[in-house]
Amino acid sequence: MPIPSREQEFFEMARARRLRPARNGFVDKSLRQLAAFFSDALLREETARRSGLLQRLDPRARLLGTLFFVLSVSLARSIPDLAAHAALVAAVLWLSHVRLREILGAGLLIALVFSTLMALPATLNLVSGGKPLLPLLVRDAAWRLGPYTIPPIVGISREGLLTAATFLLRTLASVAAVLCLALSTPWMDLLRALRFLRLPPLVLQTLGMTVRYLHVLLRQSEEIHLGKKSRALTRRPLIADHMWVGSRMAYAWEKSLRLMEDVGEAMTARGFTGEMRAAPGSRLRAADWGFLAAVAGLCLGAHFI
Amino acid sequence: MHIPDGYLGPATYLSSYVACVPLWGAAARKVQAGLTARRVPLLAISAAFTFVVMMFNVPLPGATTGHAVGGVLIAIAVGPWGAALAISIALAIQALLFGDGGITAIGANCLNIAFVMPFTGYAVYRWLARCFPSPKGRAIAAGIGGWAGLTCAAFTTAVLFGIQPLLHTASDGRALYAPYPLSVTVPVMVLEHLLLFGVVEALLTGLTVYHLQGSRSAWILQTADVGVPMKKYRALWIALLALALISPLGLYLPALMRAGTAWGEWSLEEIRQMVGYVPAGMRQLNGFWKALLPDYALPGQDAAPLAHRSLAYIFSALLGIGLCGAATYILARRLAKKSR
Repeated sequence: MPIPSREQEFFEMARARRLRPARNGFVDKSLRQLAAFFSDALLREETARRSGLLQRLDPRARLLGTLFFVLSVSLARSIPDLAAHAALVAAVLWLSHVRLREILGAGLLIALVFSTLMALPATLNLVSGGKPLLPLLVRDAAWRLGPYTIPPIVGISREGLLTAATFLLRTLASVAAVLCLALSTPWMDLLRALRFLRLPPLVLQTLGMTVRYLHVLLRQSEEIHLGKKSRALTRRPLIADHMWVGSRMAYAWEKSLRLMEDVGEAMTARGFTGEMRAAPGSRLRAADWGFLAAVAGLCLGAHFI
Repeated sequence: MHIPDGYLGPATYLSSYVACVPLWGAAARKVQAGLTARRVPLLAISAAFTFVVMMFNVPLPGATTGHAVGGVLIAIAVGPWGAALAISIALAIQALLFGDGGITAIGANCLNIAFVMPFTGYAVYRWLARCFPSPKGRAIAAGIGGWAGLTCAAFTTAVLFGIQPLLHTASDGRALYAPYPLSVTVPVMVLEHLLLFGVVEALLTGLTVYHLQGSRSAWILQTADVGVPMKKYRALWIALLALALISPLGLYLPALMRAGTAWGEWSLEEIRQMVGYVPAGMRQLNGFWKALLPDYALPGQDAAPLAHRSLAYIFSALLGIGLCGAATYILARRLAKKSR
């Protein structure tokens, strides 16, 4: 007769005591999110090193171009105007060697799904008005649903389709432009480029420190979750899991403060007095100005379509 | 909660930036004044911590999970002004580096998540923390603060979404930005945050504050956990009493200026005079609820002189203040008893 392993012994004991195996759904989800954060950071470093159109430009020109583009999209009113903006961002993505799969994974897919879900009810005459082209629900007379009056025919209307198209084109073009900037620019370069916007030194320094701390704190969170996953053998009551989340969050804050004090002491030891100064930046090159002029020209041109 | 680009029109997002600029200035001044060189990284740590909060999933019944925003938690830890600045920085990073929340909407997102949420939540926490000074009481106060802060932020977000069809509609009937009216956005956003996301926020904020109280970071909590002494409310009570006493101005000024009924508060007869008929739904629902003090007057006082109605006005105001105060006090006592 084979000797049962310690693992088998444990499972038999757990079964005898009516203990259920651990279900770490929330721990796994947190770990997946943390892993996605780190893999995204790696992907961004890789896409930012490619020799595409945006990657060859000064980060300040990329940032200004993106800001101008997003402002221009927000001012666009007609569908051809928005479509031209969307085409422009698609062209820049292609020229910057950023693949569709990469930009979808970086956040465009989530924006697409969420915006589509938001836009779908807007296609109905119930929200956007107009005559239904495709009736979905037909009743004899208008009826009431709580405080709302529902018309006798509910369906997809022309106004609804135009509203949804406007909404989707505007949202996706803007999100794609920002992701294009994020995928083509290393984080620290992007933060340095923000100096160009004349933000106060306190803000700039805090932004830079936040990004550095972010990696440390998230790595620490990953360890906390991995520790929980490796130690949890049997299922615990929901309240015990809640207490665990609260206590680990408090612990994470405690560790963050310790880190803050260490960094603060190190900064003071190196002569930091609390006064923040920004280093002067170099001048933009002709290619950068050319890119900015092209973006401005194409965006303004799109408004006249 | 994070509003992406394309949801808000230029008038709304520019107004949000304009509203935020003085708030950011005030926050920077207050934070810089109280920040020693050693604690300069506190803002950055707090901003980074908001990401950590979002990464901690909370198990919920039915094998689902949720995560919190942490605005009120940060406000309790570093004060509301510090939280406003830290969360604004986190929102800017999310928009610029992760495409989460729009660049044009940074002002609106900061207004909702970095100002409305921490300030309302922190005010609720401070007030309740005075009623329940025990560690459990403070944790419950923090939880209620988190829930209230998130719900208020959801409300202001819903208002920003809901005013878009009023502000920006093309000549062909298209909504140019967020397409849903206030009648849809407010109930949807507020209810889901009131009943679902707010509960997660409350749970996480309350539990974290409960555990934080025994830790060495109490030096940061000391500004938050004592609550406001009752004496400091004296000015508030006097102001409320003064407001109740001058409330009949609402009767005298319209009479003096010969103004009509407030816009949207017309009686059925006034609507009939204005548009020629009374909508069926209005007629049906009119009289559905008989108020104890209709129009802040005693029943049957419609034709009474202004002086009589003024007294009823003051009585209504005092009654309202008393009822709200009593309801909150009873709720606070019950929760305090439970926490003990």
